[in-house]
Amino acid sequence: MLLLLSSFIAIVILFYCVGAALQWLAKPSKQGDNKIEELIESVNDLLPQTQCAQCGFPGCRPYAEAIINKQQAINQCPPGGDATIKDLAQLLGVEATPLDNTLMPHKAPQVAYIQEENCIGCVLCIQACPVDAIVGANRFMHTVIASECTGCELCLPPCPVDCIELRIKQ
Amino acid sequence: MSAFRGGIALAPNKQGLSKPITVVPLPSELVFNTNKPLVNIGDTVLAGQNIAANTIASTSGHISDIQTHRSHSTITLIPDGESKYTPAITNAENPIAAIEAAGLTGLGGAGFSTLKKLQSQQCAELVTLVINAAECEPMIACDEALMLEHAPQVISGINTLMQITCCLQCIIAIEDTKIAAINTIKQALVDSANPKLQLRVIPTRYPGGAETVLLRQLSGAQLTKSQRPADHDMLCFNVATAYSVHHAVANQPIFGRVVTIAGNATNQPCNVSALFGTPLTHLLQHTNNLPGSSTANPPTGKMTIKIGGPLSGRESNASVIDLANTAVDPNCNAIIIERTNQTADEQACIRCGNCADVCPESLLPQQLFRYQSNVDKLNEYQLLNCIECRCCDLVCPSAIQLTDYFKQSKQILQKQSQLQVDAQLAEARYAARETRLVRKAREREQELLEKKRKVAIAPTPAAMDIAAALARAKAGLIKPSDKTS
Repeated sequence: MLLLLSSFIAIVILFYCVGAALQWLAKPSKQGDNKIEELIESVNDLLPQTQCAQCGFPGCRPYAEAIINKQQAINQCPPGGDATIKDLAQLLGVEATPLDNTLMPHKAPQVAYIQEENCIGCVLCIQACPVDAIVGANRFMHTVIASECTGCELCLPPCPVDCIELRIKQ
Repeated sequence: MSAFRGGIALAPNKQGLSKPITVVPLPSELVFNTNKPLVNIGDTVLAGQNIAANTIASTSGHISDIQTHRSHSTITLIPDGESKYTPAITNAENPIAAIEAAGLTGLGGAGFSTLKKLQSQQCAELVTLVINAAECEPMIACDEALMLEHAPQVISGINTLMQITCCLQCIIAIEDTKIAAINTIKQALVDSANPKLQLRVIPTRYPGGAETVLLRQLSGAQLTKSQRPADHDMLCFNVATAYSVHHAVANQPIFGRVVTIAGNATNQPCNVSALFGTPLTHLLQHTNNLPGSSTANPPTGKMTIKIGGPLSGRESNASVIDLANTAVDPNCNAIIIERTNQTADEQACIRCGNCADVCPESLLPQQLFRYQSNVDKLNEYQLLNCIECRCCDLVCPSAIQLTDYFKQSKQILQKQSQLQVDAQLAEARYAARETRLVRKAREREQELLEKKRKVAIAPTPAAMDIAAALARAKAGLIKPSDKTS
């Protein structure tokens, strides 16, 4: 009888200990915030940094934050295309879905080019450029710094004379 | 000394050594293919003057033409035959100034500025100065010819390099089949009586003279792509560079080099001394080696002209027009003209592993070939460490020109890393713009607040009038009837 009781107690204690240990392990670690930061950072590194806002977020980092914090879908980046979706899927351990077809289609890398004879110097494109790649001033001709342009197309809608075109990046 | 891992023992086949080096007479015009010309048409230039970024006029004369192409510019110089030096060259007082004025470029093939290499290691007291006289590639014999004829000047140049760098010792590495060159260098070493200089005879095995392979043979140092020999306490110069240094320090720099002309389609294999900018047509005409000029050998088979060695050289089309616009430059150590009757067709890789056995860098060429467009795998298998020696091409039973594929793959990697650099720049600029916008919004808010506060503290005269009028109206001093009257 004593043997039965003691073995019963032993098993209860053992199970309790194992349960407690498992519970402690399952707890989110204290560095959870740091880990999320790191994850956002690595997602951001995979994004093409075009800053085009075609995903609906104002830039690549905000989209990276939304992917991690708000479970945003990973197929919302047209400039990155399928290659970026594949990389993101691999990093996050989710399924790679095709690019969302309600967004713009994927294009080869491009740069903006201002037809300088038509530019009226309104500075609207300068204000729209997310990476400050356009130089110019009021009533003076503007031009694109080609090496710093990401080809995001954000300068196209504000231009009142439609003098900006996109060319394939060399 | 044991041979390095990999490589192939190829027959030296140095055809041009039977005759002494001949000097090519000054051509009627010199051509320089460069990027950014610093001169205009009609300018008079002196020998040693910078005519473009990294390009130096090899003699004095005037610029007759500058053609701008898509990727480069071609400068044509008509020599005046006087070869006047710039004042910087004639007035140079110390070795470094003389080398700077002469704008020396290393003659080993990488085309790195000798001045930059020396300045970064000036009196650095590195352990070993390595003089690369191995010349491991078949047919090329320009360095060997130089050592046979000008050993004392070579040793004098090496002594100057030792003085500038303050290295503790100097190793001159020569392959064991170059017996005559070994003897002349030995004699010159005895004459110079500098105990720090020593000769090291290495096995004749291609590519034992490639910088990374040579340093590994001499000291066991493993250079990766991102490292310089200085990271392993060594400094490496080509033997022909030492010869140029000798003349530069004597205030009489030579703006030229020895070029080997060889191959089975040449009439007279030889070594010639030519100025930089000498068009290849002139060079081949002078040595009676111009393709098509010979009647003795009826042309059979496909002819290739290679600039550089038979293995590491780059191919050029055999048309005369192309040769007229291609000129001798510091990297042009040989011109190989060959006829091959049949070229084997490329077949599928059978994964035999022969290529891995001969790779001097211990890479896995079959894997690099398999993953030729997979960036991650190419990095994993260290494509960038490939020195393009073509050993793997030589042994491939399927006749796959692996190195051609690797060159393409390297471009893919380069493109990829450029994309990454661009992305980082874009991210930084985006972040900078964001912070600027936030700061501006805050400043604007501050300004508005400040304005409101000012109005509240010190009312303007107009505001005071309005306030007074309101006060009067309240007190009933102004009645509606007053307005009408």
